Amino acid sequence: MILINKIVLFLSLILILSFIQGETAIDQDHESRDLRELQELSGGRDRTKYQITVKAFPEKRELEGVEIIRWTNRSVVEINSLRLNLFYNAFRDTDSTFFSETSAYKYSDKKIKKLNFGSINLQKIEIINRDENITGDLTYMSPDDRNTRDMTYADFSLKKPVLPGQTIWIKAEFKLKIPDIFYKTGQSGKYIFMAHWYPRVCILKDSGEWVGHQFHRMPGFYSEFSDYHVRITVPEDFKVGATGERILDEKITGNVKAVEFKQKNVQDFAWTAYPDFIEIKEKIKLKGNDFDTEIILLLSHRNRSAKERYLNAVKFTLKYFEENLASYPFRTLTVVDPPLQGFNSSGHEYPTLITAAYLKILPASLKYSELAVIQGIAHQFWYGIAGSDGYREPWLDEGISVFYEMEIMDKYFENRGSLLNSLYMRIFDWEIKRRSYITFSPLERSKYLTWNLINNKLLVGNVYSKVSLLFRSLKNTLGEEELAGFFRYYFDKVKFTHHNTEKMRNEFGNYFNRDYSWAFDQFVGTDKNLDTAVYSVKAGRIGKSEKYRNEVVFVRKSGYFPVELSLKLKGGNEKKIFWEKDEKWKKVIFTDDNPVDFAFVDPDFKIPLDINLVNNSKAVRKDNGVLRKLTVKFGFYFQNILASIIL
Amino acid sequence: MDILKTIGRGFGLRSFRLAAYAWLFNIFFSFIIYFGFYMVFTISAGSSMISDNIGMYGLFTVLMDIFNNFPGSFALLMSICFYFIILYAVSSVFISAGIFSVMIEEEKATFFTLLSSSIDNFFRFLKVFLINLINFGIALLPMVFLVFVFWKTMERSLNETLSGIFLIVFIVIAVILMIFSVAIYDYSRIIRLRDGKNFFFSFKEGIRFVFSHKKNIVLIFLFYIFSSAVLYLIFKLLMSVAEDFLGLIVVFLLYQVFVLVRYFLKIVVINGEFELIRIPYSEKE
Repeated sequence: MILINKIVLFLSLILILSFIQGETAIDQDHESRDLRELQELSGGRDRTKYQITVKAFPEKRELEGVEIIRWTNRSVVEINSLRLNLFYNAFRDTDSTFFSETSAYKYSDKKIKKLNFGSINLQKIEIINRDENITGDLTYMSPDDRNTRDMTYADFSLKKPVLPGQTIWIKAEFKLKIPDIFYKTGQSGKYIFMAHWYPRVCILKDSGEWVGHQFHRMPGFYSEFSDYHVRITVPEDFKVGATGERILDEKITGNVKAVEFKQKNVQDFAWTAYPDFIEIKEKIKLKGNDFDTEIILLLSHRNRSAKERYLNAVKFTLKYFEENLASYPFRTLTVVDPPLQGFNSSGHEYPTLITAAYLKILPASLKYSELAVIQGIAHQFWYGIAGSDGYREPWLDEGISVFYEMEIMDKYFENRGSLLNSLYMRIFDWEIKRRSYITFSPLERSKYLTWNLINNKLLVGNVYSKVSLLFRSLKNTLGEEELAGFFRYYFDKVKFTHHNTEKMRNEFGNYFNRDYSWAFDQFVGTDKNLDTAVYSVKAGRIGKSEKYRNEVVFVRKSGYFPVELSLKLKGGNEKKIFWEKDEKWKKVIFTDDNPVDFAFVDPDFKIPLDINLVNNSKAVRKDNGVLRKLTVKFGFYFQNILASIIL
Repeated sequence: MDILKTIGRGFGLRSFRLAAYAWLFNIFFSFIIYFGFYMVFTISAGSSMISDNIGMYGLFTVLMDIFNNFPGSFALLMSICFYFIILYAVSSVFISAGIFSVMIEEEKATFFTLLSSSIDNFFRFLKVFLINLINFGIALLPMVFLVFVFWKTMERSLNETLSGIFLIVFIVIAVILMIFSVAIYDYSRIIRLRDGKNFFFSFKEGIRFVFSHKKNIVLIFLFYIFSSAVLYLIFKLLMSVAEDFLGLIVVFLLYQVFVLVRYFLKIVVINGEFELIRIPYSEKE
């Protein structure tokens, strides 16, 4: 019996071992047969890897693609379904969630007939290391708005669960119809820009919960850091730009060529093709990198005059980030200058690729082209490297990127009207951002998903402007180098991970060794704003003496931010107080030989987050000299308009 | 050279007096605007020092915050501005009645003569103005049509070449249309006064005259456009250098000089138009 047991045990062991060997052999078989190129994408053992081969047919406005995804279940539970984003179905018809959030509902049938819609049609999807065809097991989900006609978020039931730690290879064959460029992506004439174009696996949390959403008009995005290897076949005369490094560019047959790109550790892959691009390359060496970063400028052939504007802005911005945050860590940065017909694709950012904007018709005094480039590069860091949930916490990317954009614009243009610097007017970038913040109505709490906000104005005011102005105010209060030090420290901690507001809030306090939760709790993701004001200023002689009793009241009408107060006395003396206590009002009473002339909240204008600068100061007796000057100036403009009315 | 002589005859004290008459009405209405602006600024800014810190905040931010603080209704203000402009347009008819009448009758250009001529001829000129609304409307039509065609063409696919060409073509056509439209209005008024015929006849004759003297009319108006541009550039240069150093009253007076010179150039142009059509009134009698 003991001998039999030993034999059974031995045989069992052999069986088990041979099974393991068999599994490994199967894995290797699959890898070597289908995934030879994926082997090159080494590193990040569990990182999702995409290998995509796509053929573009611009004359038919179609793409045919085959995608292989190597995906690992990194959660602690088994997964019974796979969630993919099929974002291109957002442009399928006017029933999609995207179109229902635009003014497309107003379109006439005649207008709709003239539009070129787009779509992604999954022809086949299978788990190839299990021989499991899941094409028919598709269900479209619409958790955001219950729009059952929206087909941008798909669930595929699996016949067998994917266990924690298990890896599957997904092969998807798909066909794309390329739409007009309604928003970010599409085709116009021969210009093609492809964003959000391939089936993409959603994020799976550790708990096993999928994080996925439909495609919205005011989207955020949230995706995994993945590796990409993409082969694009286009007509020979097309020039192609994409995320990552170009590793191949060769003619295949006839008048068709193939271009291959590779990039590790990014959240998305976008590409563009257009026969009339002028390709300009320059290299830049950044501290800490043992390679030169190649700047690839794809300039629309009619915009040659924009070349220096783009290149100078890119180099300045990369150098700025090198000094103040971190060196751009990728080998390439592609800047796409869309032609006029592709303008709807301009001003967006993708990993290692940004779309800029240049309009010849606009004067050079308007610095929009530089702004697009600078913001795009800022997003490379705060979207591309420090990933965040763009649906729930868009400010972590948008707000911080816009903060950097304002800083860099000021420095690049040396404080000479960083957005508009013309004969008539100088406007700074931060002024425009502040304008959108002070003029939006805080109608609702903003801790909602981005598309739940009423309109774009609310999104811009709340997310882009308010958060960026908060950081600008903190910078002015703490010190420029101090805040830069924090961002360097924090960025280093969160790069190539997904961070969140909670983490930033805690790290901020830890770094400065004080509680700064009030800044985040009040102004990040809320409907609050800041308004500190001078309530009253009084001065009166004390009896028959030479002394004056001065009384000034300051109030916090809304929000809290430690602020400097100034009381200017007649005769030139000044009293300064730092108001740090979180109290609704503060009364300052003092006696002096001189009466108080005027009082100021934030006399050095360190806090642009204050929503109302008019009530930041008050005089006992106001001289309206400057107002008279403004009156004469503006009155004159209108007087001239009257003089232009025909005599 | 003839046309230069024609225009040159307009430069004189008489034209200056006529321009001063027009300017007087302009400044009267403008005081309302200046006062309005001052009220908005002082009501919004109150006893705030914000306007004294334009250097720190930036002009754009100061204006934004001041207007944001305005407690009244901007919609109401805009409505008032709209009716104000209509009232001013009617007053320009009144002023022009006096100016054209004094010019055609070759009377002395005194304030009272101009005022009484304005009163005498106001309704005649009002009718001419009203019928010339057709003229202005027709002049606008091609521009609106061009914009519509451009918009429709670009709707499907934006085209850089087309947009560049469109801008140039649009500006050229707009200038030509404006010149002819204003010239027709001017000659309608001249003929109305000179021949004493009804406003419809004057309008018809005005059109006929303008199209039979296209070249000279274009030259006269190009002179006006060119000289206005030069005037503006010189003025802008002078003010950009001197504005910060001069007192407010001096700046205000310089602004008025600019407006007066603008009217002067316009009177010179009207005089040139008169010269083209000149048949002395006395000879007609």
